[in-house]
Amino acid sequence: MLSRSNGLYPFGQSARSFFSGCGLQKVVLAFGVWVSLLYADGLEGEYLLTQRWRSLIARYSPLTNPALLTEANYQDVHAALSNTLGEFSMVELGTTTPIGLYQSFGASWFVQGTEPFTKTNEGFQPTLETISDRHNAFLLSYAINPWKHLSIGLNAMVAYRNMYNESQNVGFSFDAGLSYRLLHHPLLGDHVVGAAMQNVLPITFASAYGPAEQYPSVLRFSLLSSLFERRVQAAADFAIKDIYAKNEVFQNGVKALEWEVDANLSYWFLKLFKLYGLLGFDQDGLEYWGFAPALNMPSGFGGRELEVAYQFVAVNDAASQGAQSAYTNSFYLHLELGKHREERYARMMARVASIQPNQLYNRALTLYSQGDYWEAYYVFGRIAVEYPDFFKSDWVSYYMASCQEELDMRSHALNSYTTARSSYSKSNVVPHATLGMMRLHYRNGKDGALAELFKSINQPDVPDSLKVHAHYLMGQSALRNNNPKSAIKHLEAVSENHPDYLFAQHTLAIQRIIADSTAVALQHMQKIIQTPPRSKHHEEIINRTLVMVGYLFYEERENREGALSQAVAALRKVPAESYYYEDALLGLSWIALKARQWQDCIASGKELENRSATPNLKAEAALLHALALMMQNDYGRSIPILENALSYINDQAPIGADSLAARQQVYQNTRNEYQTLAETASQLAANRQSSLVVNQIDSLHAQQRSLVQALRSELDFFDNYKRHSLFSRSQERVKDDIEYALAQSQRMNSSQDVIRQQQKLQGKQKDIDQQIEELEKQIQQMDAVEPEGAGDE
Amino acid sequence: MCLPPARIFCHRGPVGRTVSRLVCGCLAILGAGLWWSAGARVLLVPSPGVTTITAAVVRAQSGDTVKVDDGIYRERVLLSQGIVLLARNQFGAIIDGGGRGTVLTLNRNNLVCGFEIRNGTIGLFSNNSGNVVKACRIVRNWQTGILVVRHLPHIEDNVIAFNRSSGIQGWDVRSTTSSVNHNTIAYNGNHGVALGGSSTILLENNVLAFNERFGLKVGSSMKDVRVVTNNFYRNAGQPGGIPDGNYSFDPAFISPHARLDFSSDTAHCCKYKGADNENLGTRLNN
Repeated sequence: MLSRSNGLYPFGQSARSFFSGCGLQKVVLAFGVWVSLLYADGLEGEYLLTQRWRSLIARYSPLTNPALLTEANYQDVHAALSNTLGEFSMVELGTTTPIGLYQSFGASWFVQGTEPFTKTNEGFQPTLETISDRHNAFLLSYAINPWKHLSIGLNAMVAYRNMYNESQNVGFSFDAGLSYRLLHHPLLGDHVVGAAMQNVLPITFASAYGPAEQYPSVLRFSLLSSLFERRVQAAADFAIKDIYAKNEVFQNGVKALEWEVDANLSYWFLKLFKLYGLLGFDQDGLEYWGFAPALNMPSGFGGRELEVAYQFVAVNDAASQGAQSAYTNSFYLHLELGKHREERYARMMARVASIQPNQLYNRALTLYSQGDYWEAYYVFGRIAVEYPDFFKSDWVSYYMASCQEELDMRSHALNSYTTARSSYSKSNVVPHATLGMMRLHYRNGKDGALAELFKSINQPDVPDSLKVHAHYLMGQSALRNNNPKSAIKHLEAVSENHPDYLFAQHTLAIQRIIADSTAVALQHMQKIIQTPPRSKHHEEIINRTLVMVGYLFYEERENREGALSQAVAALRKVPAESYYYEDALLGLSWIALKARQWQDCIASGKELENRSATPNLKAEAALLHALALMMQNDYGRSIPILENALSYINDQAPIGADSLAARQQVYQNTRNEYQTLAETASQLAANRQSSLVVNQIDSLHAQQRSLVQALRSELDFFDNYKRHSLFSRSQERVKDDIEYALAQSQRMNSSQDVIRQQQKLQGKQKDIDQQIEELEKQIQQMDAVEPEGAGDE
Repeated sequence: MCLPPARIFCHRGPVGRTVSRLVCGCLAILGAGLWWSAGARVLLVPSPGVTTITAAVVRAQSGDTVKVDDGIYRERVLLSQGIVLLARNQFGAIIDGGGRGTVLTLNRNNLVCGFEIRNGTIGLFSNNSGNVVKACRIVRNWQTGILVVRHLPHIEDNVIAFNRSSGIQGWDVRSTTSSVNHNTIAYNGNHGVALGGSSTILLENNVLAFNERFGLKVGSSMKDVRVVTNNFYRNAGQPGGIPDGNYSFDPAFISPHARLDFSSDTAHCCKYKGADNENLGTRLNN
């Protein structure tokens, strides 16, 4: 062949024409001669198609055979960088994307070029211009496995050549390939064979120095093998070259096909190190040998390959009878990214199967998280009815029960949780449902059932967060049953990072207060106050704790120095938007009274009276205001305030034992009515949601809202009646205090009137006495003047 | 034609070959009436006019059993709802997918028992509830042994090996009444069990060994996967190590490569038992 006979250049006959045309430095010529031995192929673009500079990524590269892309299971990036003598470089950078189970798409970029060097003139004198020869090729590839083990693939290439700044060309070509999965056997390994015609439609570049040049067409047969769970991998190629080359490019004008064989074998040690051995033959015998150490550790890369390798190849120069050898160095990267083909396929299948119920499920979850439990309940119900095979049907069942729990439909929620547990016995939903049942038993006061469920939730495979919540419920239950030892044990199991931690500490603090361990209680409360809140509930429990701290210090005022100021400091931290702000104001008012800070007491009392909507609190606030005035002997101003306070209490209907029982009955009736509604709601949820059913649901919702309001109003009444939280006191006690203070004020006010009258009278008497004295003095003066006048007569 | 009582099968197979207790297990499930209702038929393959499993499945109705004689059935089978697919002898009936496609696709409430399922792109696919895959050998598929989405079938006592990708690949797959229990999942080209999406399953008493990548790969978080008393051996280094409550010891397979014999040489292994006090991995006799 031309290049062999003439010892020309790696980039083809155009180079020869070019060199003869303008002439370059002799060094460069000598270089070219030598390098041609390395490339040794001669035709334009021919070296690009050889394997030895990119042997390690040949199995991933569409350039070898586009059909082999179907073997790629991950999105992969493969790159090879080869350098010869520091003057010539080859680059391949490609990526492959698997599509579905059977297809792949690839894109690659190839560079073949020389380093820039100085151009010479025709007298071989260097000029100022630097030049190089550079080919860029872009390849798009597609492969599909259409039938059994057979895959087919196609490459489309665009190549751009910039030759010594003298000519620029663009060309197009196509490759076609087939591959066949020959064997997949436990003992004999995996074997894939392939055949590809490279440059079926070859790129043709017009040349300024001679006839048009064509990229060579190569027929390539490949075998890719893996043995022993891929510890051993082998690849072999047999290529018949220059198929379409014209006679005139051969030395004697006679076409002679060339062939070459490339093979590599690798062994993977410890799933970490790889060592490759490489050999190449052609019609002249051994063409090259080489080796490549590599590092590949999928266990450190999420199970995907990340292989880096260095390859050394020594080229045997048959043309120069072995007088000279050359070496090439290649660096490789093979990187797998993203998800495996099977995983992508599984994801697609899951999505296709679940689009509609998934949308409903997400909607229901959004409603649930927004606290719209009624709507959420019916959306979950719709999924349960219309998509009984929805893959999250266990969670649908759980959330329906949870919605019922949130809607205070206790007995139905309990049934639904029980159903979720039994219907999905191996689901992760079971401990969640168990916990839901525990909450309901706790609220219903069924401590025995609570303890029984605790056994089933306190198992090794149950997530800790659920177990901890169960401990919290058990702690509360133990406290309710006057078993402080057990309560402390359970509550202390609630770890610091659990959402129930603050509540558990709060309960522990209360327990310690009951047990008269104020110092320990304060430690628990300190922990609560110092923990950053993670929710609104946390903020409120912290505020409640601050009120408790204020109360504790207030109660300790006799025994602890500075207790009142610490109490004030704690109470002032409660923000105005908190539910506990009114309690804090009440506390501040009481403390100010005890500390004889009358103005502070009045200010807090006034603010509380204006702000609170609770008659009891308004009355107590007014009482405190009045007491502060009384302490300043301002009985006159305190009387109308106390009368007003009394009216707050008296405006409420008097509550006797009978009326309390009646209210209890009202509450029970409302709850029974609500229970009936819950039954209807549950039946509706089990129906397909026709427009009729939807209308029924809507009208039921209106009833549900009004019943819930009625229930809340009853509960608020009992809360107020029994109000005995910290600073505030019961209605009777507040009323007694007001009446007493009013009587006292009135009495004191009356006494003051008498004294004032007496003082007034005493003043008048004094005036009269003074007038009498003055009159007497005048009379005496008059008496002293009269005798002198009488003697003259 | 009615199926004989399960206990008869447990003593002696119909063709004189001892049927393993696991196949008996399949029959016991039938006897319990879970799949088999009164009036259900048993369709034999082959039988006059029925030479393929697909032909029998087309004739079958929900509740019917398709019982398959030994042989290689080169087809891809799509089961309809409620059908039981039973191999007459353990691994005697082989469904060969011909190198491409899903060899066996389950519908709903299917039971598959005793087959070798091989040479497809995917061995077995399931995305509905109530399925059971028991005592099967799912091998040499070009991608995945078992691909499951949404509902996890009950997968018990199977050999899932030598598939070019994962043994079991799941996405959004959930155990509600089922588990992956007592299977041998080995020598697969990717992971033993790979789970993506919001999968939550129970994996217990299995052997996951010699898989080229991880024994168990979980897409996001391990917290939803309950992994109890499994044997993870010589897979690629498991991220985060072997989960607590699991083991790692040589399962000492007798002849996995040459004879696909995954029974353990008890002289060299099996010092640890499963939660049910039985040997880990499949309890099939080869």
